[in-house]
Amino acid sequence: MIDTYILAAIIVSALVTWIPRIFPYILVRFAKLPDKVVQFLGYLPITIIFALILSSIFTVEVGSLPRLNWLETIAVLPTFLVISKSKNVMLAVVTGIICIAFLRLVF
Amino acid sequence: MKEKGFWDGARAAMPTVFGYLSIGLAFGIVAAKAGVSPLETALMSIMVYSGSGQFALAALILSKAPLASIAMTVFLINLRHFLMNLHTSTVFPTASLGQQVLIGTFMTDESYGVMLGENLQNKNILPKWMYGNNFAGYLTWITATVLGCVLGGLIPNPDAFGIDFALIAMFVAIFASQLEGMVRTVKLPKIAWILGAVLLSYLVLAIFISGSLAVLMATLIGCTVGVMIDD
Repeated sequence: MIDTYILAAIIVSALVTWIPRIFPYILVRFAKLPDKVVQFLGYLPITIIFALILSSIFTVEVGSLPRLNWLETIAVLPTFLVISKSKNVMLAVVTGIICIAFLRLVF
Repeated sequence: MKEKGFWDGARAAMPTVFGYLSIGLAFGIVAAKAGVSPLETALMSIMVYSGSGQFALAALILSKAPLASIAMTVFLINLRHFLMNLHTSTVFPTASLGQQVLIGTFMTDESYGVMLGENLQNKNILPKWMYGNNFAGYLTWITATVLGCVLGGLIPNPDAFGIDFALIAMFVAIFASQLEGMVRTVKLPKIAWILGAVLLSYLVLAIFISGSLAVLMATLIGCTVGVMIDD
């Protein structure tokens, strides 16, 4: 059973998600990216990953100040240390999971 | 060096798979509570395929929001994909439009992050590596969300085990390697200015606009600061 309203909501959401995903590839076929834009995009990886980390360690709500999730923030530190020393993503992820599971158990 | 294909890409997506299992189960439970059936959850994960977008969508469906506001909200939440794919078009410049559209359709924050990590050592990533990276996440997401919806309240809160931290840990790992790559070409004070700008703008903006919009705006501001210091 599929509800018509839910189906319509899914189709609409799929479209507005898909278009920004594929439009850039069509765009670059019609116009070469200006140097300034290429330069701008060079900073995208570090800024967007950093912003995504911030969004996972802060709880935010419109109208109130962001709140830091202490446990997640603390668990980020050993994760960062392990990746810096070992360069092994999987090892860092497992370390992070064990740390947060331990912290949640204790606090 | 042997070229890296589909299965190498899928293997590189392991941390994503862990993260999506837990977040996907959590989403399935939320969807069930919002009155979305397992079949509708499957359709949603197959067609929309966006974590933050789907959480918002479930909440909007629950409140019987008009389609126009659903469209606007989900659009704004996922607008950062535009930037990521614009950047990704420079990583696969020789791929055909069909290949690029296939990459863009299934790329998420996480598979983009995994690709960035790979791109630091491998400047010639093949589209098929990226398909493997993307589809590992896609299949996991569909399976986990439907499972969560079917099981509903039967399973304990998946967050309790800390598996949800996999995605944060992965972003931290990607961040560390990006930082290391950037330190070679960009001076430290400049990197500090850029990250400081992202931090400050995220914290201030999040008071006034939704978290996902704050991520988008803070990213734009950070990149702008980077370009401005170049001059």
